[in-house]
Amino acid sequence: MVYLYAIVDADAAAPTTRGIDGAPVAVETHEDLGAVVSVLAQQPSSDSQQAVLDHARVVEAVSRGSAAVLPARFGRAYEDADSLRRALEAGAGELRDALERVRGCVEVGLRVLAPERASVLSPVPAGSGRDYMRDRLATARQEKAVADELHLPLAALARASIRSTPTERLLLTAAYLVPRRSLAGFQTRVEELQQSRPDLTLACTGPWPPYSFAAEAARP
Amino acid sequence: MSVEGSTIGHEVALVELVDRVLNKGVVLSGDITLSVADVDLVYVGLRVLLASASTLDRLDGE
Repeated sequence: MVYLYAIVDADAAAPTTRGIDGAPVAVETHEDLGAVVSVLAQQPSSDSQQAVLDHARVVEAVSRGSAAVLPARFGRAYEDADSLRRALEAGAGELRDALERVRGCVEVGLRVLAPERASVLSPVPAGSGRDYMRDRLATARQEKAVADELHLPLAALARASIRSTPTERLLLTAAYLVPRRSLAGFQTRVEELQQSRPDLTLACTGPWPPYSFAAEAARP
Repeated sequence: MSVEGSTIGHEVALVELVDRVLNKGVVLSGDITLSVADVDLVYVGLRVLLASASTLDRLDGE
């Protein structure tokens, strides 16, 4: 079977790094599109944790050598080169658009962790249900305002951004598509925001290949 | 940054990486999904990481 790591321009060089199960990595082309692949036996023999890391390593190597890379989701393969070519043909328009969108960019991840809330730990005094609800609503509004205060200046520096729904302690989970030449400035801005809010934990990761911004070129 | 802080940073990065590889990225039509038996183990590993990260986080806050 033909295992897919990423979509690139047809003229992109194949990375010299080995893929899953130590298989060599090649670029199969269809018109102006390239598919970074390995030919594997029916199923990988390595355990899946190793295979996930191998997949990530190939995508990382490809993105160091190419300006535009669409990482593929883990664990997707094609029966043979023909079925891969048909898939490229069917998705060609969307893949080209997506390649242009991520060209020259990397992804930066951000998670903002709130301090543990006192209100969660302290018992609610009897008879204050209405006050409690009012406080909870006020807290939710404040958290939204804080998340905006952190997200909006970063989104302004990015070509695109994706913001996920906040959870209990994660005020903000976001991914930013940042041009490589703006990366240092973006990271400086994150540090400034951290300094302005020492009560919060800003966990900034990356630069990653643009995994989160490749998914939009989904199945036709 | 404290030792605890940098350990959290490393674990967060690993969680973020695995989350991206497994759940993001482009999916094309006509593919066959690998039936890797132990893919759940990756998630078990992740939960361990997340649990230890939140434990460190709590200790750090004390």
